[in-house]
Amino acid sequence: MPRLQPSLFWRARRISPFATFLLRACRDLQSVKNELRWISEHVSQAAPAFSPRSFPYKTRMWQLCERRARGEPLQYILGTQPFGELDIRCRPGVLIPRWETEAYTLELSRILIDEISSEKKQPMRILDVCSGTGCIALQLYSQLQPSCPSLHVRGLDISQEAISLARENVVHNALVQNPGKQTIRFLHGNIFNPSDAVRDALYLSQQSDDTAKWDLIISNPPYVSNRSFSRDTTRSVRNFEPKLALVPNHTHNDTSEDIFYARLLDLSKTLRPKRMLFEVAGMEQALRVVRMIFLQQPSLSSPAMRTSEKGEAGKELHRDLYTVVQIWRDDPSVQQQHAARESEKDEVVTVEGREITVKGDGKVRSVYFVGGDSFNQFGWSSVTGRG
Amino acid sequence: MPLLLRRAFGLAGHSNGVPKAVASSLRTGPRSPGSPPSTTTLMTRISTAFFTSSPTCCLKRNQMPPRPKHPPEADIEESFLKGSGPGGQKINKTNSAVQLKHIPTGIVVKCQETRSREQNRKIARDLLAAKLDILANGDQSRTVIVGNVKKKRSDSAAKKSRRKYKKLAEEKEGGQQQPKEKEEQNEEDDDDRTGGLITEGSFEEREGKPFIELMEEEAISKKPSEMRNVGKGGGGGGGGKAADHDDDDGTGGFTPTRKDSRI
Repeated sequence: MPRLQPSLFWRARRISPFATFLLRACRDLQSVKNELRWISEHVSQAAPAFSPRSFPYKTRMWQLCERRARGEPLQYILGTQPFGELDIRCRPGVLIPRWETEAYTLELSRILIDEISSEKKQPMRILDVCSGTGCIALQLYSQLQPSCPSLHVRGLDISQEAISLARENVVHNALVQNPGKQTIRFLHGNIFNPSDAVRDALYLSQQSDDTAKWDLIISNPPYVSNRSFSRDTTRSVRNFEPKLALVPNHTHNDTSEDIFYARLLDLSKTLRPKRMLFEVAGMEQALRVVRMIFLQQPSLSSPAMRTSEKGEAGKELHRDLYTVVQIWRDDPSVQQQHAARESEKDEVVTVEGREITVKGDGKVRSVYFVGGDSFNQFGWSSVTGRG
Repeated sequence: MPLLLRRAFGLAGHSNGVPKAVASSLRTGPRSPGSPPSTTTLMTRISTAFFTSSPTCCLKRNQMPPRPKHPPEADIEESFLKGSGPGGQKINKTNSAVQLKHIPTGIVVKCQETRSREQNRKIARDLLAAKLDILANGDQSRTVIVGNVKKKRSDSAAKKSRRKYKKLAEEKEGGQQQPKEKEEQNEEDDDDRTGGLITEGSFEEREGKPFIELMEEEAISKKPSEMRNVGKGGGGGGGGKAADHDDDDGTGGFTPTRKDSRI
């Protein structure tokens, strides 16, 4: 972390005495101003009877700013994090929802709503593995509920704290459930060693047949390596957020950071989801995940793949192989803001001889792919470019 | 017409129980001095005010232009503000800033008001719509008109406050009697929101009287609303969320103590 210039402290002091505390955590003046405003709004809302000049108000501000100065995340101090249209409660012990997660969840919900409105409504089943606060599951549920009469969302997490918090968030956001028609539920279990109850809930114990059991399996699993945890994470993440949610198998130092993706791809043979989305750390990990996908489905690396037709805007849609694989950046809904735009073509990256579209702007954040069943079931005859 | 009835219909500067909208619609044009409005015109106006469905009769006195609508999405480019570092699970900083660019005019609006990106989007679009409104309408835009009205109100409040303190200072020099008399009176009148534009009595009534008598009359019938305004100006300047103080104290209610400035 670069050292703070003394002049920054003087400028912060001119804003407010509290700002010097926040500067230690925020490191730049604009964030300090924003966080000061949010913390003082929070204190005013909690105790509206006290004037900002009063002793109790100032004491409370000191308390919160001191906590923030030590690096405690603002979301733990204020207790909430806005996520899409929802307000997610946060607690120490559970990972805080990130804005990148919000971005791809919103894009995905747009895609799903398009699909629901264009084709005849079918029961939609969504599984969120490593749900944490439940933000992804809750967001998808709240976005799809108006247009999808039969919607079942399940969240799975190994931490009981996370499950309780997720259940609290369902109530806090006033999500309405319709037993049998629209449900959202959170399960406590281990994806690597699921108990019988969890296996039943995930349809794991049923014989694998050709019907897809899950429409979407989405996951934001622990993907930080031990080395990256020590080097790349910020102080507030390292010291205050649970390592269990960041590093896979964090008690053992030699576990690969891709282990969750391997497990989910293994399970996908039985679960047969129509589409899957994984959050990844960056381009290197995204490429590794894409290679794992290709290894899973050996037909993808066959010569037939190279002679497939190209869809519009550079995306590849294989009428023979029925799979779409995309890499999404931080903000998948916007065009990339650099030279690639001039050519009006999407950015592509080549993996094992095949071109993969890279969508959006920012750093690489997720991998999205559509299984073959969707083409069979919906009988796509035209190239739409949508996954 | 008896004073009580005039007051009831909001024609004497006080409106007890009659909504402002109705009261304003009952006000007739400039009155000739000394002659109250006729009862028949009043009754007609009451019936139209209460029993008509068209909204035009219940307009606010200061009719603002409506809030400008958001420009179409096709004209807006939401540019992505890159965060530093690897991002994702490794960083938990809120990044809710939204930057909009209006392509036809080139106006750029940045908003990081709230922690929620969705709310910031809405606020940014409101800001952009307001800027486009100013660009399109200039002095007729909503922002400028609202600004003028607010400025007028605050100017007149400041003027009243200056007048009052000036008088207080003069009277203090003159004698000790009058400041004490004023504090004893506790008239419970409604707020006078006319901004001093409508005063009791007409100009001709006041014209003949000696200046000193007019000043005494004003001092005696001083509305506590003005005292209230001044009190708020003095005491509430420190923070917007001042606790409610007793209105009877006037200026003497709240004095910021020195120890509050200790940091």
